[in-house]
Amino acid sequence: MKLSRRDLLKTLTGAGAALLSFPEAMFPIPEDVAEAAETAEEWRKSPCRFCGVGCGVLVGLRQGKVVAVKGDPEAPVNRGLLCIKGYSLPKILYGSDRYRAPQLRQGNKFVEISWDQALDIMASKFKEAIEKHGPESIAMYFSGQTTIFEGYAVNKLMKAGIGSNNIESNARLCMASAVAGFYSTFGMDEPMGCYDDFELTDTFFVWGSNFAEMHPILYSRMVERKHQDPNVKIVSLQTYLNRSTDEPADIVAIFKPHTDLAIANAMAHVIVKEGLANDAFVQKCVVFKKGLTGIGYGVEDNFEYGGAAETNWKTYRPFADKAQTIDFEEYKKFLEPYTPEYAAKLCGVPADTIRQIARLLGDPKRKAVSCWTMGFNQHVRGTWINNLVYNLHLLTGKIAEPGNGPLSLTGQPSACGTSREVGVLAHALPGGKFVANPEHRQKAAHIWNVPVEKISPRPGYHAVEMFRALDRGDIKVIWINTTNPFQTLPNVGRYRRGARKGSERFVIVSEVYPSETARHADLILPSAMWVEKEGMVGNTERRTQHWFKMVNAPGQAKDDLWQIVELAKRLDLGRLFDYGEAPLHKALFEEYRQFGEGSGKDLAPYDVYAKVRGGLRWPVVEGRETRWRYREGFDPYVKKGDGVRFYGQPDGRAVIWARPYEPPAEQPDEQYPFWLTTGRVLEHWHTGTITRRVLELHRAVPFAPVWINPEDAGLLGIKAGNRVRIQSRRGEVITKVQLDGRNKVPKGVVFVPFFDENVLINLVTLDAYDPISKQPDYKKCAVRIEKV
Amino acid sequence: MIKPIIAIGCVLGVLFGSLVLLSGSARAEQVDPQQGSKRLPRVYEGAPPLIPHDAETRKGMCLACHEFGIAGAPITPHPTRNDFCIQCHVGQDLSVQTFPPIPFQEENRPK
Repeated sequence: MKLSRRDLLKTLTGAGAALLSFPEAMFPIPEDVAEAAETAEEWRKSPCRFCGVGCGVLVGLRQGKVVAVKGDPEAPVNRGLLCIKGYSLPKILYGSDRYRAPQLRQGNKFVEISWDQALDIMASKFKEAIEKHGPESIAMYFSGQTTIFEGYAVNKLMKAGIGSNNIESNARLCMASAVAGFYSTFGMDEPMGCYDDFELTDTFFVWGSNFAEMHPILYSRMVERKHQDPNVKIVSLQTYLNRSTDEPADIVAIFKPHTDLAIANAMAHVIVKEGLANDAFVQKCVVFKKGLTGIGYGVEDNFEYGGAAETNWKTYRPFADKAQTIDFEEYKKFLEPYTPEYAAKLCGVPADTIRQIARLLGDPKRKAVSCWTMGFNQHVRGTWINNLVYNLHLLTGKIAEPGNGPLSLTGQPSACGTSREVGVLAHALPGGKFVANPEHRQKAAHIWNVPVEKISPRPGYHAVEMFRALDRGDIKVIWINTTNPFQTLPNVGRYRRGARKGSERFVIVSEVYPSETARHADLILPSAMWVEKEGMVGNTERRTQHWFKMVNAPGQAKDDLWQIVELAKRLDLGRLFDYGEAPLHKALFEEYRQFGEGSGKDLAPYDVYAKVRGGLRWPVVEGRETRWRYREGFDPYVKKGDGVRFYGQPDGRAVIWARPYEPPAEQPDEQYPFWLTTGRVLEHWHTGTITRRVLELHRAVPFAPVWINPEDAGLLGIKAGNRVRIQSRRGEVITKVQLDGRNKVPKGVVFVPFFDENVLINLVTLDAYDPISKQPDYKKCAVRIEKV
Repeated sequence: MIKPIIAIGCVLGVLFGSLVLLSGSARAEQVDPQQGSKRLPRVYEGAPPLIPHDAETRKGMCLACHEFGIAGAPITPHPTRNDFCIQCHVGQDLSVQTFPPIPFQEENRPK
């Protein structure tokens, strides 16, 4: 259905009247916004292509092209504002080197082939590997940018059709620890609160997340809140100074990498010692547990957490831990050594500052919102540090109510919506279900209409192990889609070499522009992106959003859902996607919805998302979205009189975990005296594959420098602009030095963004991971620096 | 309270304004950026204006010039959005050309 601007105004207003159950989500596009960019003939709604904040945009179209975007003033997330990446959306589609046809490697060159040839080759490689080596010799590596439709389809193809669980998402690299943290503490994934808390709280705690650059629109909501009310306090705990420690942060604490474990326990120590714990809440809603310690770092192939059969990734349920219930007194004893003075010695933050922060969080007159992202999640004890921040909110009862709550921020537009909710992970099934659980398999087999034996109970390879298996030769054929692992995997040198070892290995890559991963492919498939296809995504605050296809993809580029279905047909599994006359997208979504229905993950019907501006937050029950989960009056799953019930756990109680400080996998020493931490910049999205094609973004940050502390630079005889070698035990890169600007690193720390394919910093990083979540730690390894 | 701030703002503004006008270039994210002092064209109508001067070392000072248009600086239509100007408005190194700088050459990769 095509609409002119005025038609759209009328239609949206009319639909608003018809859909009174969603009054807050249905608004007409204001006339002045529509008039503002006269270059566009027509405006349609979509979420932004980029981060997990999930901003709503209005897409301006003219003669079959995207010519402008506007922040959607009625989108509840961003209220009309966008960041520079969002404003650059029209240009991401039109880079000069966009893939327009499938390409097959012939020696060191790629030659264009037809889609029929490409799909036949792809299917024959799949069939050959399955016949010779079984279904577990193939792998799918998708993305937190994969849409819900695509994720659901490929998950079904793999788990119900091919019969292998070797399907992962790059969300393993960004959100796995958050997921493991949610499951171990609450028994259920995803935040209880939402962005509305930003306007309702008066105290923000930002942990190891430069969200001024990575989640800019959310950051600006926090800043505007502070501007409105001087009583609002912002605490920023970081490993280096960055835009998130600038004005208007009130307390800035720069801690040594990895010592957040000690700080969080010291804060709990202060809260308990000074009587700031909410005893009534703790008694009613919480149990105390301790788990395994000394759990290792996963640097070896086939690493198994804990070494015990019960915790074996392949045979037991994920996130397993040998949990032992303890009582409040035992927990207090566990906290005893974590005095602020002890933590101060480890982390370098003064003990008084730790006390001050703990008192702010514990103050019964204040509310508290904690935010974190990769600093916590990309951490060899990522699950633990997620648990520890929940401890603080559970001890004080500041959780699951307006203005109070921990909010785990997401990196990718659909890490929540697709990877986590659809379960595009080696251990998961859609709707928060697990392959290792016989009841869950039964339910999946019923919905998918396949024999239950078809669904393997064994989790497949997690991301790092998947690429180790490709290197070893255990994986023969891999399809990589919407992600760039040969730039982003830690210790990527090994995995790049592994991909090109030849023998029976065959690497298929669906991409939009040439990337490091495409350069390692045997077969490149040109994909459609963003509004060149219909899609649905889910953001940080459980908000599901939908957009329609608006423009055609260039050349022969095809959307990923089409690629998945065509592959299925050639593998004689076309029946999995045979919905007769029904439109495929709608049929897939309506089928997917059955997985979560009645289990706290209820989604609205497809038609509702197709109409609603700005999306809805699940569970959506009887036409109403849910803003705060686990709280009576807000969450339809909490019965009258229950008050607060963490219904993900069988006893309705969340867990406070006694998690100790344990050292990281690698620390600076005489040979390699610096901490290396990696991350992103505002202007570039992940590996820059899309954003570097936008000239304005490329000109804003044309390459990745290394930030070094001026004193360290002085000692090494290095000046700003000098070229230096950054070397670890695994590899090296050369780039230019930056001493200040947007970041200022403390002595002993260097920071390098990972977007630049010519400064492949992941050649240097370490492939250690959190043994519980299997998420790698990109934030700390040891390097040396020398002038070249 | 507000008057001294405006006064200080004006002084700073004139200082930075003249910096822009006289030197025509300044330090930015990259070490030797080539920058002018002229307004850059918008990417499309409605896109945020780009910054033709160094923004990194002057962060937090945007309003000194852009609140009242000192030294010809464009006046911001949204002065309350200070503290996060640079999430929409970004600096530009005009010496940098389109990415990728050379055509995709499969022969050279992968090593």
